[in-house]
Amino acid sequence: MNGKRILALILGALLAFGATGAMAATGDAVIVSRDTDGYNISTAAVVGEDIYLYTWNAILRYSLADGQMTEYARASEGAYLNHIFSARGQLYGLVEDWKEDETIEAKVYEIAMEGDTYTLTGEPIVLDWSKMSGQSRDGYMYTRSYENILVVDDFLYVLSIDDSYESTALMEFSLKDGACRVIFENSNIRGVLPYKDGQFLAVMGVGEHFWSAELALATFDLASGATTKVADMNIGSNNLLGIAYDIERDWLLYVTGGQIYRVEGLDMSTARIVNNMPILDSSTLTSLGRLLPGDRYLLYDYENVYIRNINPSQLPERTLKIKGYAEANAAYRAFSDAHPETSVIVDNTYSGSAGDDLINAMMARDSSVDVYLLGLSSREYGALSERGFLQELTDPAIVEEVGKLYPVVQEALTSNGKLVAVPYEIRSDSVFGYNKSVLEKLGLTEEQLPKTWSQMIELLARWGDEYQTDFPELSPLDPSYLAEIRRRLMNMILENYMKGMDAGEMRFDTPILRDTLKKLEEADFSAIEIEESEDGYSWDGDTVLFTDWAQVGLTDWGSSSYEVTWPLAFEEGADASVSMELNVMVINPFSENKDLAEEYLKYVMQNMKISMRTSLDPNQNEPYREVGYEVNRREAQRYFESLKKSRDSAAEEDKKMYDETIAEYEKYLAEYEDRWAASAEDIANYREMAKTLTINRYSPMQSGNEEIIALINRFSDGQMPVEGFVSAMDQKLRMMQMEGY
Amino acid sequence: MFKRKKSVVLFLLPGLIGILVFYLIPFVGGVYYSLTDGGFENKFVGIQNYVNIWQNQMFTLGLKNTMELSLLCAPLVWVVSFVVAVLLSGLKSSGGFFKNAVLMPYLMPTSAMLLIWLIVFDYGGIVNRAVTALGFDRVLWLAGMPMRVPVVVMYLWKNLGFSVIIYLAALQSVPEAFYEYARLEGAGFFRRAFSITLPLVTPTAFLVLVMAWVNAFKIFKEVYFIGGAYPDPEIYTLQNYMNNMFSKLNYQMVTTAAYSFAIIVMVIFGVLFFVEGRMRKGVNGE
Amino acid sequence: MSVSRWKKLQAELGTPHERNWRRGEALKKQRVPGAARRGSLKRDSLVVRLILAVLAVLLLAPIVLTLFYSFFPSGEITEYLATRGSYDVGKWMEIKLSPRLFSLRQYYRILIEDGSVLKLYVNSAMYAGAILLGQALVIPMLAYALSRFKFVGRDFLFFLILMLMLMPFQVTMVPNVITLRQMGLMNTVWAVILPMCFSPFIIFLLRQYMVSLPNELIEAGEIDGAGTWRSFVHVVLPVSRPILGAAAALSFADCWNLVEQPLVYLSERYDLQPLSVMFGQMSTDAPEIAFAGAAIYILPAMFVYFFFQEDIQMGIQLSELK
Repeated sequence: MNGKRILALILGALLAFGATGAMAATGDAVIVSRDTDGYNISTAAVVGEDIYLYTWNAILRYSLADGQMTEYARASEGAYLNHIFSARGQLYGLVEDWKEDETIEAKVYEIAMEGDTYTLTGEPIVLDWSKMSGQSRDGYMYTRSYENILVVDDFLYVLSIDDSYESTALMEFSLKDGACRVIFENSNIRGVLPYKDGQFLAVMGVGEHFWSAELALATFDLASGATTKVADMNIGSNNLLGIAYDIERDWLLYVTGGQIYRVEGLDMSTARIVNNMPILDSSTLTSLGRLLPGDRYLLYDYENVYIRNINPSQLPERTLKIKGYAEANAAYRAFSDAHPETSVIVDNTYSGSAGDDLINAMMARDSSVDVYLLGLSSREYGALSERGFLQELTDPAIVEEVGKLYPVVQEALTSNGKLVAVPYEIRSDSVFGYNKSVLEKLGLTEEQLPKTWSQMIELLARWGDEYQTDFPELSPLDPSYLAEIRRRLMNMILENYMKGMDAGEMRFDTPILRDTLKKLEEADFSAIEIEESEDGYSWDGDTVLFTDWAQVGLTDWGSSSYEVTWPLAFEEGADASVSMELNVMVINPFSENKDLAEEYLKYVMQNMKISMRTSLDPNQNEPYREVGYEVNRREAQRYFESLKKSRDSAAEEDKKMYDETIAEYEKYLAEYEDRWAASAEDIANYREMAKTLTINRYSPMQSGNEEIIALINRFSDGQMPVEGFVSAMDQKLRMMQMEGY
Repeated sequence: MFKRKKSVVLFLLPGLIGILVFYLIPFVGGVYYSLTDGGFENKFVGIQNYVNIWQNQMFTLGLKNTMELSLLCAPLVWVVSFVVAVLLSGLKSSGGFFKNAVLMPYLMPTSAMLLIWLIVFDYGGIVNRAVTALGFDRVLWLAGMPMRVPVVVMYLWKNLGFSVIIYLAALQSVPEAFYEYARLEGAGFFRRAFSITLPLVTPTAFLVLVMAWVNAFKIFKEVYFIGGAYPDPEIYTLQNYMNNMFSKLNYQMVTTAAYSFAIIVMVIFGVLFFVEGRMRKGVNGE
Repeated sequence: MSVSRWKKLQAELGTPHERNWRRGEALKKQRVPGAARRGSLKRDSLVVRLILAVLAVLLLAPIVLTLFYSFFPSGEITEYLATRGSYDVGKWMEIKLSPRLFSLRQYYRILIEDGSVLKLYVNSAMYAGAILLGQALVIPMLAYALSRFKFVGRDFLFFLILMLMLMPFQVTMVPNVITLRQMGLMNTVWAVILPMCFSPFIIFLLRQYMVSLPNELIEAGEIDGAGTWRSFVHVVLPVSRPILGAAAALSFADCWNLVEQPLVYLSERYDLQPLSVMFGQMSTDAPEIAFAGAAIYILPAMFVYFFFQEDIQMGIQLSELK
């Protein structure tokens, strides 16, 4: 799913036009947002009153003076950039070219805007990139990733990290001759900033690991190389983002826990909150914030670019605090626009198992957080629900919106008959799917595919004799699964079995489960022999019939065209049950801002992403496009035009080649019309499957449970008969139930 | 006198603060949790939690098992260590090797030894080889009632040495003449050990019993390593219950169970101390 | 105070070490029985030795086996363990004592190649070191105060410590978690270290020893004007060497066996766990590593034991435990 997502994002990064940015009274704004504008942000640079944003395909210029956004498309294929930065009051682009000998040539160009395009001009400065590659422990060559790009005088500085996150180096490149110098190498350095008197400010991890939580601030002398610790950051396990330093006023700014802090004279005791910053905390290095004219501050992540006023006197009176890992999405923006009097703090610090803390906060009647984000199937939500620590939602708009959703979803959002939660994120559990092209190769039809787990087991047992000789290159499952096929199947079967059931009514000693397991016990898979390829990972989309990670739900980016979701049932004729994982927002019953919190939840319901709305609301049947569809389409069109132009000016012998490409592209563009993230047919298929939709709830019997794993392994290894297994499972279940919550 | 007072404070304070902060205050403060419902209003419910927990089958099962296991373990260690100590004290040489062998397991980390025990008590393992050699059928040691055996054996293995050493210390102060007298009377080894030696070391025997019992109450580690959080109902202990409720974030029930158990422990040891006191008086009175 | 008088007193009483040694010698003499006993025991001594030898073999077998198995190569031990859990009455697990191929590879892996086990090992050592140090700073003084000073509530305090000693960890777990969280110590090493520094059992052990010290010894020092503190440092601590050694060894055993505390107090900090909690997981993932890890893990426990063995026996012998 991750791979798909990244793919979708890269696809989504195929270009654009003018974006809108609403300026609130205080100067706070989200100037670009992926889910409305379709851009992904690579880097930003500030030149005077202009903010330049590189979106992988275009450069956007946002003028602070008039709030206008202008798009400059890439003029030619050669103008692809890796990063942009500003130096000497001018915009530069960094380009990494892969040469034929697999080395990289890094070049710096000046960037010029002409009409509605940008071009790279002049002779590039070639940077000495040799120190950016290294050899990993197992002998592979890798290139170091780098962030924290900044310019001081005629030098470009980056922090680069090796492949194992063990060494972070501050590298200096001359913008005159490209010479490289490694200034500092340290596993703990997290971010650097120019400071006064030829010094740098460094954010360091204290402790031996790159990930160590405690951060400290140090000054670093470029000339002598000496570091001097200045202060502990005292931000606990929170991450630190967006550091920026104002030399004139001796201000240090940083973001942690969803808020911007300002420190004077590097004295941490002067730290004060100056505004909120709902940025998603996902970077390995501390990102850099940028100071803008007029007491403003810029910070961006992959999807959003924020401008915030840093004059604390203009802070809104009220605050609404949201805790949990979430994007600040359409709901956040809509709410902020409608409620300029309220500062919404999104503290998305990831905290491993916040459960104990949450219960403790409840018992201490803690009111510091207004809205919590929780997984509906998490232990924490289970505990809160069990003990009535969830505020009832009575806002008519929320009740109405929730009323539109599938009854099972409505049911999942209630606790003791009261509506207590709204959904903000949905993930479907992975189920079986089959590959269309492999099915065709085998000469099979959908009717011949197994519909139940028992049939699946039978097919796998037959595979060796029936298909192997004719189709030696095809495999029924990912070949890496075959080594322990019994365990794999067992896990899938049990997980599927438990998902459909309410914890209170769950039983394992049932005829359907016993029969299925009996089949598994008796099946002989020894005839399947698929050769694994040399690297051990032989998975290839077109050789494997079944995957076990097909999606049920509808997504932002659509499903793949060759993979068909094919969930399995336990009984012939019965519907396969499919389940979803919901992440929800709940209101702290001790919150002092319950009205605002409920208002926020109303916006969450009203601004639900289309993919989620369609997945949860049976009456939402409009087909929808992927995020950034328009941007992508425009880019494709533009590329098509440039191809045609190139053809006209190309040499005669190349024209044929161009024509072929153009013809292909024309077809591709024509197909664009039919590209839906969810077409009417997709939605209809989904509605069919969703008839047996269940929402995962908390159950102590979750498959990660150690004892259950041990039992599963004992059974799969043939050390335990079916009867023994189901009765042992039931016994554990009974013990858990009898203990109570 | 003033100087003395100051030093009392000096000596007592660091330790006292620690005991207070890390043991007593939490212990007393926790009572609050056991008297409230832990819900939104956090109502004071009096002894309702106690009533509920005593009606919870898993709590009573855990309590029963803990009691049974400790009643099995403590007397076993008590008797076996006494016999071993008497044997050791009768040796003409110092018996250093044997003492080491007995005491060594006390220092061995339970978790590091677990795999060996699992091999030994395997269905096809060495213990079952011995069992079949004696003409019995194999026993499934790692499930059901028989699972208590490995647990008790692991406990015995680990805790025997400490009790032996305490006994040995006491035995060495028993005057030689007693043995001589007994031998002349023609008493056998066990007669001598239990009817002559044991009464002479009653206070020590009492202490050994207390220590053995305390450690038997702490048997959870062994159970947890073999059976996990939900072991077979036959070895599900009270600590299982408390740990599981803890991971369910139900502090009310954990504290309620803890205080219920603490009261039981106090009553048991109160009675034991009382009995011992009476016995000591009796001995002195003669 | 007068140094010369102090010296004189020391000369009369002998140096603390001498006194201690004299006490020990006296005990050793006691242990060696008269000639008559020697003669009469000669016969059953063989039987007794045999019984004890069997017992010793049984008790040491698990430790020795662990050491043996730690030299098995990865494949062989995995194969061997795979024969575990067969419920076929016709099959037995082999009784393996020596590997087909003597392997040090797993030692190489955990000691040199892969630092993760070593890291946990260092954690264990850190906990043991810190806890022992903390105990050394606090407990002897407290035990001394409890055994010697008269103050209001002394017996009650001792009774409380006795009761705390009797409680399993789980009884105080929740209140402790709440307290530690309020102090901001949860998920830090201090959550494990600090409570252990005030171990009721060790307090009890030391107190019982100090109660048995002859009054004259301490009073002589104090009358002399040596002051409570000096007499504690120069008289009480030296003569308490055996019990301090014993306490150190027993406490080390506890620290080396930490399981519940780290699991509860450090639930979010995988990197701070001691090795003792990780064996279960290792034994399923990589049994050869688990055995080699267990072998290097029990070695310090053995060293500590051998280093303090005299103290353990003498310390317990001299204290009021009997």
